[in-house]
Amino acid sequence: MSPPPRTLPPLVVTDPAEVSRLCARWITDVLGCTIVDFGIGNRFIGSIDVLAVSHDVVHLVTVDTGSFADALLGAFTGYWWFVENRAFLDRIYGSEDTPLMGDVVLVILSRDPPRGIQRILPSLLKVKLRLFRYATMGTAEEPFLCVEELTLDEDSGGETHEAGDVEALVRELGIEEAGLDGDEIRRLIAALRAA
Amino acid sequence: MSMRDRPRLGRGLKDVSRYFLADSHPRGGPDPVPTSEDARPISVFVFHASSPEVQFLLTLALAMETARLGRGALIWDGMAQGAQGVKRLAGGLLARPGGRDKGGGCCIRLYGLGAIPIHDAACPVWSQAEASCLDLPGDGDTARGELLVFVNASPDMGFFTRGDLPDHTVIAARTDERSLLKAYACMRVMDRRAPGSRMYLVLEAHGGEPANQCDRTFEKLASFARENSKAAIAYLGCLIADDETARSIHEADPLALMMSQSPAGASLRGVCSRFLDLVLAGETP
Repeated sequence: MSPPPRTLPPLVVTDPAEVSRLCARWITDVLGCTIVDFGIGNRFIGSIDVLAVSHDVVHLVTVDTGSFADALLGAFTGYWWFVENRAFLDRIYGSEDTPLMGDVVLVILSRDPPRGIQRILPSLLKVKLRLFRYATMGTAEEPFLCVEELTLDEDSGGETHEAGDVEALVRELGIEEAGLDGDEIRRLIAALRAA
Repeated sequence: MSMRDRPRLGRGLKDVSRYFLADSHPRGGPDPVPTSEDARPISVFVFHASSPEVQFLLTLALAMETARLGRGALIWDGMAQGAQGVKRLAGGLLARPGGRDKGGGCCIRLYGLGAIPIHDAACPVWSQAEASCLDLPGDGDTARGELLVFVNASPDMGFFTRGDLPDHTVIAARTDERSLLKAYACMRVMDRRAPGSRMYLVLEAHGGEPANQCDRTFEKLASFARENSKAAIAYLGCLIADDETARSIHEADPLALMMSQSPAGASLRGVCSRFLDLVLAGETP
């Protein structure tokens, strides 16, 4: 999460446009993207709240300001619409600095993403996705956006972990001292996933 | 707007007295004047598998609740040196100790209650910090027999295999698989290293996750632990993390002191109360 000043109170921002503006600033400052356009699309062709490019990667950003389900549908529809019309959009929006023909990544920012969504989405999608949780803080005059990326569980599609994956997970979590073997870890994960 | 609809401008005496006015002691009876000889240190490791900041919050709240009940409390922060960690979170409650201080620490002073010394990793062994606090006077005369030493554990698992062993270990975790796996690993290390140490689990709920979902997750983890390692763990409840929790951490305003009836504050107080009920009553989880 971006380190906020310690004295910032939570701030309720009800204007979706204001939230989108804050997110756009964060996309530029933190993700290092160049913003191509805002608010592309509509309820029928999907919504791309921010179209941005960084190192030839096209970011289709959707900001959830109300319902996560609506934001997700808007993001998916917007992606489909973008891919279908990419050549046309590249002629309109693209430039040498901001080409629109590169890889595409869906970016969804949500104030309150549903629990477990970071396990569900990767198992369903082919397109690359980044999911962020955000909170608005500060004052109405000086709002501040705190953003935290949710780690997507790429292994969620399978019930078992390969041996190499388990070893890497043990190292990553720093739990070597516990002496857990791969079988015990796999059984624990299966037990936690059991209904 | 009727009077009933108006927001309250002040708080009732009972609200503000939870910490600052020790109006009663839940366990009753006269309070003996504490002495070094009376103190019977009970060591408690506090560990969060995913969030150091929530670990600070929990450690601080446990120590403050201990002081509120009139027992001695000490914090040894194994994660930080200087004005970080629990000290940062304690914010304006910090004061320099008036008595002997061997560990370079400072303490929390709550009006009418015993001081809570905080030592950090500059005092390399928490049992030394424990010894240094026995003669530390508090503002009140309420400290009774027990002294609880809360060790804010370092996140590396090696911490649990070094140094002295605790009487109790409070393990907090989020409900994702990685966090639960790390919590389980901590249980296994403590079960092997300190089989006599009692273990407790706190689950942190996010994004409106219902408490009964946390209960089911605990049952799955506890059941697996029983079957695979014979390790027993008691459940202290669900700690709700919300905007107020985030504000408490960012603004160094201890959540335990916020008297709002928020779910986050209530859940934190509930977890601390359940833990101290078990420990002070000497009950086996």
